[in-house]
Amino acid sequence: MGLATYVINRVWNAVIVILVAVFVCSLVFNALMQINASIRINQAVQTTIQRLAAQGFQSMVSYIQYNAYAMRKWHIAINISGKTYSCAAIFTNPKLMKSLEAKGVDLEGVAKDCIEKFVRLQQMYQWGLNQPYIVRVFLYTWRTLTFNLGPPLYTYEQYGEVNSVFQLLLIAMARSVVLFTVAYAISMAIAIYLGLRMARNAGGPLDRAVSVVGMVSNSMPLYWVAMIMILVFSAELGIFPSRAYETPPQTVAQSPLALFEWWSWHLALPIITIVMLSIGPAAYVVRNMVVNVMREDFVVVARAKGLPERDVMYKHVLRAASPPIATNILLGILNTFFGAMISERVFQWPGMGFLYWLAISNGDIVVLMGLNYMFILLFVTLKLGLDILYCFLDPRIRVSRAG
Amino acid sequence: MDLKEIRIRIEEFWFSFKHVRIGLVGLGLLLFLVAMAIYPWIALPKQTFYHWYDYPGWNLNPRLAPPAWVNLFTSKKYTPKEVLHPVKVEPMYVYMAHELHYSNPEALKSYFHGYVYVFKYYYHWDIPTKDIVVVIKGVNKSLDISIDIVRPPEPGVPNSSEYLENAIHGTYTPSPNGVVMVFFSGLNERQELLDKLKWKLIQEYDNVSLSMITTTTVNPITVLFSRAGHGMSFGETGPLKGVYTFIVKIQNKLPKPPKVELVITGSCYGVLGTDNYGRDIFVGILWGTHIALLMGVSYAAAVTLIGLIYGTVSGYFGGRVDAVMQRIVEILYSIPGFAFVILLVYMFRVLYGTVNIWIIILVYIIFGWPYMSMVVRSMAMQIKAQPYIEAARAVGASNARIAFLHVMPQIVPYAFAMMVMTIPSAVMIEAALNVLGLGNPYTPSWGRLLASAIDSGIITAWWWFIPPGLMIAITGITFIFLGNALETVLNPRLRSS
Repeated sequence: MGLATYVINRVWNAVIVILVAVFVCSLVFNALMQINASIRINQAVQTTIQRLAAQGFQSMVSYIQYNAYAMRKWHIAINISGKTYSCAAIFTNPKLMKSLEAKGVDLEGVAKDCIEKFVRLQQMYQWGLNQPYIVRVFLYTWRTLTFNLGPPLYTYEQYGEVNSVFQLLLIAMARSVVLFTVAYAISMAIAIYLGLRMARNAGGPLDRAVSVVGMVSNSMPLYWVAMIMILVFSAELGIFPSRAYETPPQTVAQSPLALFEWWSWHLALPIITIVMLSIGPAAYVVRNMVVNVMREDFVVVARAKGLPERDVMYKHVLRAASPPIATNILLGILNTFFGAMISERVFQWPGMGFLYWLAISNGDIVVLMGLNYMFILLFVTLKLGLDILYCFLDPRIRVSRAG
Repeated sequence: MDLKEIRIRIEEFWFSFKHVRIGLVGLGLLLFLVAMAIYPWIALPKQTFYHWYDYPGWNLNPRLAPPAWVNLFTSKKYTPKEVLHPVKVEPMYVYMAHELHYSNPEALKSYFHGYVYVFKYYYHWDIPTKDIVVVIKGVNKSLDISIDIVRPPEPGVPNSSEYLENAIHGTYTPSPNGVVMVFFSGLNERQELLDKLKWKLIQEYDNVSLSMITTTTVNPITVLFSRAGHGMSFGETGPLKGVYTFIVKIQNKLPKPPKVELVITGSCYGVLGTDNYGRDIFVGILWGTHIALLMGVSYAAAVTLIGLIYGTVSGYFGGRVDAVMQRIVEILYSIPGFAFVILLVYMFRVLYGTVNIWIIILVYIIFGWPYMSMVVRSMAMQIKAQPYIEAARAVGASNARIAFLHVMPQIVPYAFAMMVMTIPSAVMIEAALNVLGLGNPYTPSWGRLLASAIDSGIITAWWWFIPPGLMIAITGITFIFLGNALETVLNPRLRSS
């Protein structure tokens, strides 16, 4: 019962966080969209008027006559010497046109004004700018939450043929997840082994060395280390390719084994780099948690029973220490993930970090919005998952938090 | 608290601090960083900072040149930068009289105007200079300039001391401050020099088809400094070492000879080399230090101050106030801050054209303080339960007085240690945003240098991208070491909460 309330409380919290975050993003996004759209609307208006003016007055008139219904509906009117005329009325009524011409009104200018007003309004509808700002914000929040962002503003050839932002994001996320999951899994396995050895003789040379390495590697930007690795292993030694993403040739694409070989050869350098930098901090976390657990009575009992040291460490200590280890390492990864993700640009691996850079340099705010939503979703759900997992694994926490 | 007490406290602090080894390492590194931050303000021209993007001095540097000390480790030596002064300056008529074997130069005075400058350049390197620049100072009208080049004699080659007459000539208008610069790598100059070399040297000695020799395939400066022979147009014959003569002729009526220098830009430069615009990377690193420290310290101070006040209020008052305040903190803490930083900084760029680093810091502060406030809150709750707080309340002290005069000062030392550890994160985020293309290209921050190296795509220019990243790493290590040491020295009791 206690656990259920706790979980519901956390989930409810996470939902609020996502809603607020997307709403704030949407506030910014709509402001940006308005700037972007107004530039494009002006362009559209200019091109339409220039095209019609080049064809002559008659084509302008026929354009207005063709769109007379919509113009009436939107009440497009124009002011001529203090009197307001409906645009559609002027150009569909030959008598009125004649009388205005007799008065010396510049009908071509009037037609131009009418068309400009009409095209502008039409474009405003198309970009959704006819609604007030705040309504657009809510609308866009809803569209983002339901993954309905429409097509991206630009094309992204590294991501294949896509027809929606969501599809693009899925491809990007899949690639990022593949790279980082493999890398972090390897580094976690090594870190657990190292951490246990460090904890067994805490204060020893290995312990001190790895602690310092952990501190140092936390302050090195991953993309910088990535550049050095590329310089050494790909430019100088030529062992690994400098681009992590290359479409495999036909001969390779046919057999799964060759394909696996191809991708592991291409991804080796990014994975080695990420592992190199994430091992130190992770091993340090493992060591701290294991040292805490090793002080507990049950470890002494296990040793007193005469269990071999291996069994004590891996079966008793590690099992007890695993919840805080898992949560702490994952939290650490989440906190440094942004910097790690940027290294995709250096490795030329078209995942989410690479897409961030592409979207920013293209000025593609729709993709930027989608990426931000994806990240918020990823972060909040992961943190929620960790919270619940932690609570589930450790009965003491379960009781104290629920109570 | 009088002066003596403060001195005793500092002495006490120093006594325990000096036993923490990483603290001392951190302190040493900090002093080094501070010295690096102050040094450029004393020693470098300020224009290199305010006009980092377009400082005119960069024109006289080689582009994409490795540091000068690589010569110590390589067998092929790079040409260092040299500024040559004329060994001989004489009026044009004297020079012409000598050339024409004319005994009475005064008679030629009305036929030849201007001055002739002779430069001698002793070339004994392997990798030739990237550019040669003639700098003429103090001119106020357009000049007709022609440059002759004489290569050193070469044993075993007939006509070896090739005289390249009028290798470069043209009319040059001075810049507003009266300086004329003739770049040998300029579009026209390159073409002229190559044409000269083609007919004088390449045609005669190199077996290559002459249609292949264009400015896009062949660098004329490489040919100029290569031995005559097959393959000389691509520098395959090796360097021709010896004394080169450059004769610069100015053919205008001038009251007195202007000051002329010949700058051999070289192919290596300074302490840390140059980037693809000829900007000195060491200068950029030096200027970047004070930016990094200012950014880091102001970010950390702001985050700590906000977190301290917010956390104390939230933790001390408790109840409904705490619940509301914690909900806000929780929302801010669960959001990935950088996603918002990217979006907001991008918005600023759209609105104002460029991004100011202080806007990045300001936006980052919004998402940085919640963690600090959470830690402070838990401490405030602990301190609140202490008997002396109860005593203060019994005496009749107001809530605000207790919160800010009794609770908060207890937390300050630990908050200070945490503040020190937050300093590098501002530097990291600025660098990261630069790599994403959201930085300010006009400010020589470390992140900017690193990002411009990535943007250029020239991975082999190690002297360009390694130093800024290394400085970022050093900054991180410095403050993490210091923070850890401070944590052990100041108030270790509160840590376990």
